Amino acid sequence: MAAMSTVSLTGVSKSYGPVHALREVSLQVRPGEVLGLIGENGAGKSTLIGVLSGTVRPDAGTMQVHGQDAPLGDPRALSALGISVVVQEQALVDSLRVYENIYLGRENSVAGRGPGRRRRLRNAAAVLLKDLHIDNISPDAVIVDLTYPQRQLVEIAKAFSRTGTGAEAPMILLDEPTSALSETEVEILFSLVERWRDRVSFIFVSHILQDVLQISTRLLVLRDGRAIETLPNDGVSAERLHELMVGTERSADYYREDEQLGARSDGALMELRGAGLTGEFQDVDLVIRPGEIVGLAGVIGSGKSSLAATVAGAERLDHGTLLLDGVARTRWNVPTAVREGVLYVPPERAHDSLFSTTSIRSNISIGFLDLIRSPWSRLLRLPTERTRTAELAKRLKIKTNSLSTPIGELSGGNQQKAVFARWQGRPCRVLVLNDPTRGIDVGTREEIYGLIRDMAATGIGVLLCAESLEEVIGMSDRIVVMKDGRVSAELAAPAIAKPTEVDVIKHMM
Amino acid sequence: MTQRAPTRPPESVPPGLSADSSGGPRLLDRLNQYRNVLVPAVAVVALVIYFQSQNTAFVSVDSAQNILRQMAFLSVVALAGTFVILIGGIDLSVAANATLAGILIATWIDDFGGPLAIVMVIGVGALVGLLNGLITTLLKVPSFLVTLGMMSILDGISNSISAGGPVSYQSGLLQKLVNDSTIPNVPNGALIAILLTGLATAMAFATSFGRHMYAVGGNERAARLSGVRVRSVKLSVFALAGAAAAIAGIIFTGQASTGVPMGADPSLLNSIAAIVVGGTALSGGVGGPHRTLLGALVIVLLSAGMDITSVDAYTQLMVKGAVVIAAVALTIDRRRYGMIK
Repeated sequence: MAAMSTVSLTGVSKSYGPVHALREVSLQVRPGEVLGLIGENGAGKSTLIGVLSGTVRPDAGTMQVHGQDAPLGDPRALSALGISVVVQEQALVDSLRVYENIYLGRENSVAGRGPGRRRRLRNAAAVLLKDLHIDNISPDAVIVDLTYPQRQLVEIAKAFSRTGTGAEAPMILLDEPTSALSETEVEILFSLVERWRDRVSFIFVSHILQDVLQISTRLLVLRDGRAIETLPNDGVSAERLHELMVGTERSADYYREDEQLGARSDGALMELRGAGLTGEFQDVDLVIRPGEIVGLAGVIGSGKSSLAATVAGAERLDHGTLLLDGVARTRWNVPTAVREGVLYVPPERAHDSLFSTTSIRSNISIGFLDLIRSPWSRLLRLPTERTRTAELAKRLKIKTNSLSTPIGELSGGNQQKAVFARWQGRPCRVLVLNDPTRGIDVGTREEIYGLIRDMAATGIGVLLCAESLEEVIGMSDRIVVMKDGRVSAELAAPAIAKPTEVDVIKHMM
Repeated sequence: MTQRAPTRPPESVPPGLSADSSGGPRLLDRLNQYRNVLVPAVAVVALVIYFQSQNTAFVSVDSAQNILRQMAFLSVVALAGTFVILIGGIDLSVAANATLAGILIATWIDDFGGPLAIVMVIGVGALVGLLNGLITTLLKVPSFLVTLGMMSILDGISNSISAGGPVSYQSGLLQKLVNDSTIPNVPNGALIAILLTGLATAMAFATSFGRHMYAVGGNERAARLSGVRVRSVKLSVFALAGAAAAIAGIIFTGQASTGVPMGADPSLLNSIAAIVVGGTALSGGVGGPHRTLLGALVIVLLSAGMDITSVDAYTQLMVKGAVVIAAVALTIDRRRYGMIK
């Protein structure tokens, strides 16, 4: 009976502007189940978790907990109904102790009032940790002194601490819980899940397919915001899951593969040798040739994004060398890179690229102010600024009534076009793109792909790091796959012989 | 932290899409866009009408000269503060820096001769500012704390130099530079203030440095990733603020005809009020030197008006404090702050 479901979602949809993050997704979790949730980056996993935990309010759909309608978009109410979340980003207070964090906000209900409460809380936490077989963490430890995996375990303990109180079986959402854990720690986590499964239902989300396959009883595959398939986890192969996650449709026209020309020469424009950045990547060799589009693929946390940032000068190498035109560059930072024509489009538009209260015009011209300066008075030639930015805005088809409009008022796609316009105003030799089409509608994506092709055709070397595999495969001449901070494979991707997504994914995981 | 947290979940809220989904009434939006200019302009008119109705002597040559004289000093101190606020920091030491400059000019002007003394004093002011900047950027101490401490240090130095009493001087140069009138009825000090504001405005809008200042204040991370040398912009801005504060101090001493310990200090709150009322947001990246001139006019009108209508000094303090709080409450961009502390 449906009423037996601990938690069920029906017809949940959520859009961000033109982007459909979730379309008509339904799911059910019953007591004793571990539901594995899988999908590519951007498939809608995080949004779905947000809906379940109440941090995202869906546009349509309903949610039921224990057969009763639950308030969507209200994290406190959902938490009171017994839904706990262990998320990728940790929700612990760094300066407090373990036991204080576990019972944060629930001190009265757990340990009552009056003297000795601190001791009672501490004891409760000690019992809980012992019960969960988390032996290496003292309830008195301060969070800031713990390692990342230890904090992960504290989060998990915190989620479990809520299960003891309610009579009905609640649900715990585990979002990428294993990605930062060592093998033994993963084992501890899985034995916890096994032991508590009859009392608590779990939803388990991970990039790591082996982990999902090992612990889940049932699997839900998401793709492009849709629930593609639910299947019981018996004898499902990783290969089959890859296919379900990826789908089959991929259009050569979309990425203008007929215009793909490849490298103009074998000489390297930009090169990394034995490059390493502590905690991010190591021993990376990377070559970008003139006219070549090099794709960077890998899961989140594989180091690909910081590798792109390093090439652009936004991060500094700890090991190895960076060479431009065969010359080693020791002091490589963004201003130097910009002067040399190595230009960067960072991933988080609002945080990394935009001056949102400032006009579109200033947002574009910030990229080439040094080029519109009068040589003798050092003053900016304001008329030149106006005409040049107007030309660029027109060429990139930025839709706005006036370039004096604050850029924050534009749509995401137009904002990103303005960021590209910023770098179109100056000579470019290497273009570093870090997830350039994130949160952008399909039409604008196509325009941006065209722009990248045009730039590559003039001999610019492009480094394209993107969350969408389809995009990396469609655009690149060569794909560098990263796994755990190292290059795990390098695949040729000429227009006539594109690798499949499955080919790439198997090197990512 | 021992290990970096993994990158934030990609799909939760696509950046840039959350900010522009308001879609409220267009007219209000338009008005809102000009709010920061309209508020001080309306305030000027309202204050003039109100005080004139209370005392007919408010609109007169004498009163106007008095207002210009007060403007001359306040707008330059506020100009100094404006630079730092534009990059998203705050300099609470500008008034104390002006006091020190006022003492130093009175001490040095007869010994070193006017022009050299002025250059030296401005140099010291710039050095103090640079020191603020170095501590803020290199030691990563919030600017409000660095400059709060610096304020106390500078007051100590000023009082040591002057032995706690007024410093007199003979030179007539400051009288000529500050109080005499090249244009009839307009004291030269006011001309200097207007000239400096003009230069600063040109710098803000028509130089790379000025644009970089706005970029750092608007979004420091984006500025860095667009190739702005953030640290050197910050250092220059603090040094510039120090130099401007020193000029304000010279104007102050010129007007008082002696170096006065703690003399310029009480103007700190007024200068912040002028900046904020003018429409330069404390969050940085919005506003500009020209706005501060208008803001200073509002504050001076309010102050002169309260004098002329015999509002007692204690009440004036309360009113000015309330004006600063109200101005910040009206202009602060709350989206920029996750939490208000």
